[in-house]
Amino acid sequence: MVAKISQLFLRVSPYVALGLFPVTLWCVFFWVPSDAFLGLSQRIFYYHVPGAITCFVGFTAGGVASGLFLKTGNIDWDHAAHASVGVGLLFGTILLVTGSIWARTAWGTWWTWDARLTTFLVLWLIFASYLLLRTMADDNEMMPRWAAVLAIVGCVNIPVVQFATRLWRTIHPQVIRNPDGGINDPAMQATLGLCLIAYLVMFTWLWALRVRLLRMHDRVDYLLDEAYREGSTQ
Amino acid sequence: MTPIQYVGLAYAMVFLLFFGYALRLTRNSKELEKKLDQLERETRGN
Repeated sequence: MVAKISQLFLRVSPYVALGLFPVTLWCVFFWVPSDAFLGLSQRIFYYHVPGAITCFVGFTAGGVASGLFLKTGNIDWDHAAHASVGVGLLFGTILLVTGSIWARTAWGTWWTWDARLTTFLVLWLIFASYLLLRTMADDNEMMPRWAAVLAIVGCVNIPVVQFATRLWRTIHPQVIRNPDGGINDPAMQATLGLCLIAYLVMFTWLWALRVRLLRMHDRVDYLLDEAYREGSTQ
Repeated sequence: MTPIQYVGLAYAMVFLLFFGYALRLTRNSKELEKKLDQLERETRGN
């Protein structure tokens, strides 16, 4: 199932992404009006907010695939989880970088220990440690199971990040579903929606590419083991 | 053109480079998969 989905994404996503990204660039830099209060710096939201949502999608998919791997023992789900976390972390890094650039302009500092920022940093570190675990314990046969448990634990932190702006006093703006502000202009909403679709398509492309590489890695390992066994019996 | 539009063009260049790299990676991995299929067939044939 994972192999079929990744093949489908590899066939479709590159063309959709190539079609969408020029349109998003035109919308963000040439079409959408500037925010009345934040000015030009607000345009970074069109990369920051979709980056956040795509990152959460990646981490959630990683947690779900890890659960399915623990339940079924099918290595394809482990590949799906590994790829989801890896690509999710890439979008999480985009989120941190763009957020930091915006914070320097709006708040006068690159970083502050605000509830939303801190909880997201914890989430990012959990999933960075997931990749670190996979790299460092690559030769241990229990490693996929440990990694799966870590991914599920990491997923528990996602609602905490999401609701951090409501649970604690925070200076982080709430851009979506905010009755007192946020992005309300139809052109801004359309641009944000388009950027989100483009990011999600980009995610599927990179995810499928990563799944293909992980599957090939396993196949090469299997061939090497077979060649070693044949060599040792001769 | 306004300064923000020049920033947009710079972004477009970055995206172009990224897409070029990703497309190359996709094509190369596909070729590698074909070679791996062939290697598996030959191994089973022996």
